[in-house]
Amino acid sequence: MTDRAEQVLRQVFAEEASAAVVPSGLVEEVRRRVRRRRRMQGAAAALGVVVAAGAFAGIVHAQKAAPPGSSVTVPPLLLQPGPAVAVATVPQVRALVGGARLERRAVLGGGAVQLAPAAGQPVLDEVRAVRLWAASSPAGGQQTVAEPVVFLADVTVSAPLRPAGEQFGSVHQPRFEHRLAWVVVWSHPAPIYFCPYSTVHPTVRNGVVASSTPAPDAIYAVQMIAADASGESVVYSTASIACASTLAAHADIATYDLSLPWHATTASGVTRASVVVPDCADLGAISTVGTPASVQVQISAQVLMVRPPCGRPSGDPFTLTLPGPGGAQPTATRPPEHAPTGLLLGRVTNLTGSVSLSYFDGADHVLMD
Amino acid sequence: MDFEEYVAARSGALLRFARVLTEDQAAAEDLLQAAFVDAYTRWSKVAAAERPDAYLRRVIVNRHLSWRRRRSSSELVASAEHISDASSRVRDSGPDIAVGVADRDHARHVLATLAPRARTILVLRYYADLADAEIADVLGISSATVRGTASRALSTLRAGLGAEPFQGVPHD
Repeated sequence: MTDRAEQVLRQVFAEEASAAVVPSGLVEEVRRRVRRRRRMQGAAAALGVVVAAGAFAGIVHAQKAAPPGSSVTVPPLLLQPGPAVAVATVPQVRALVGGARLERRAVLGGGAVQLAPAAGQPVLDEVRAVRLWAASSPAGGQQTVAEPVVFLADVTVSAPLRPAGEQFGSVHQPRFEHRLAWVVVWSHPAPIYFCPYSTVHPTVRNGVVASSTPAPDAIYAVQMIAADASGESVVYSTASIACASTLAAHADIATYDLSLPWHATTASGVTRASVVVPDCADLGAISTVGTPASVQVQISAQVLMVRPPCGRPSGDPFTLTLPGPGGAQPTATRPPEHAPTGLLLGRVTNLTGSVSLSYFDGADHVLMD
Repeated sequence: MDFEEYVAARSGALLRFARVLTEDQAAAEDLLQAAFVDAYTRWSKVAAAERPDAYLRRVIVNRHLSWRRRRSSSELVASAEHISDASSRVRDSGPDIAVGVADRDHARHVLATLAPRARTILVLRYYADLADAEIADVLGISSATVRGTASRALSTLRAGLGAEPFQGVPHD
C-alpha cells in the first residue's frame, strides 16, 4: 500500500516532469555533438591524450622543486631573450621551460599573453601557486586538465579582462605588466565535455561566439599567479568548445575554492550551520552528505584572486538549515583543513566522462563512475 | 530501430526523467544530449540490448551524480525563492488546497536537502518506478543501501506532512 509520503513524492515528480519541454532540433544537436566528438577523438588519439598520468607528472615535478613550506631558490639562469616564440600548443610551451623557469620569450594567444624569462625570486612559493591553480574554479566548477606545465616568468597580459560578478563587490582589476608570476599552462583533453553544468547556456553567458571551430590541440588555458604577496591572478583561455558552442578566447580574473569553517547551533529544534564569507569571495559549493541522523557539511567560497578589499559589506553570516531531526546536537565534523580546495585533477578514460577522479582538500579522494 | 528513430521516440520520456532528476530544464537537456552522444557511439550494442532506455537512464544518472558533486550558490538562492513563493501560495489558498501544496512544498524542501544519491534513489523509485534491485544495479550499490536510504528520506518526509505549512527557509 502506498503511503502518503510516497504519494506526495509521486505528485512532486510528476509536476516536475510536466514542466519539461523537448527542444526542437534535438536530433540535429546530437548529430553535431557526435561529429565534434569524432573530430576530438581523432585529434586526441594523435596527441596520445591520457590525462591523469601526465597531469600528475607535471605536479610531482613541481613539488620536487619546492617542498611544502619552503620557498623556491633557483640559481640565476643564463637568460636567452632572443626572438619571441609564438606558441600554439602546450608541448611548445614545455619545450621553452627549464628548472621551473621560462628560458625563451614566448607569445600566447596572438599576443594576449607575453612571457619572458625572469631572474627574480618569488615571494609566493611554487607549491602554494600550484595549489591555488589546482583549486581554481572555472564556470560550472569542474574541469579536466592535461599536460600542465608550471614555471616562473615575467608576464604581461594585454587581453582585456571580463568583469567579475557583482557578488564580489568593487574589484580592483589586477594588472600584469612585466610582472613576476607563476604561470600554469594546461590543455583540455576532451573539450566537448568541458560543459558547465549550468542553467545558463555558455553562448549566452559569454556573449561572443567564435566563427570557426578551433583545432583541439590549440585549446589551452594559461593562469598567471602573481609571485608577490598580492594574491592576484588572471586566467586566459583560447577559443574552445563548450557543450554546443564555440567560445571566443577570453581573459578573466581567476578564482579558487576555499573551504570555510562553519559553526553549528541548535535553536527551536532546528540545527543550523553558519559561515562568514570572506571579502572578495562568494558563497560556493555546499555539500550536505549523510543521513537525517548524521550529516557531514562542507561549505566553500569562491574567492576572486584580487587584492583586497573589495568593498563588499561584510553582512550577516550565511546560515544553512541542516537536515535532520529537530533538536539533534550538531557533531563537529569539519573539513580537515580550511585552505584552497576543490577539484584538482580529473581523469577521463574514454572521452565519455563516465569515470572521473577528483581530489578534495588533498585528502578526500572520490572515485565516481 | 535506428538511432534517430529512437531519439525521436524516446527523447520526451528521457528528458522528463532528466528534468525530474535535475529540477532544471537546461541541465536536463545537457544531460540528455550527452547521454545520446554516448549511446550513438555504441549504438549497435545499445540497440541490441533488451532495454535501451535502461542504458540511457544509467548514463544520465551517473553523469548527474558526477556533476552534482558541486552546487552553485545560485541554485541555493533559487531554492529559497522557491520556498518563499510556496509559502505565498499556501497563504493565498483555501485550507484543503493549502495542505496539499504545503505537503508538496515540504517534500521539495526535503528533496533539496538530501544528498544527491538519496534524491536519485527516490526519483528512480517513485518516478521511474524501478525496483530496489534495479536501482541498486544502476547506482552500483546494494539493495540494502537503496532500501535504507529511501527509508530514511521517507521518514524525514513523513515527519513534516500534515503539520503546519512549512515556515522555514534554508538561510537567514
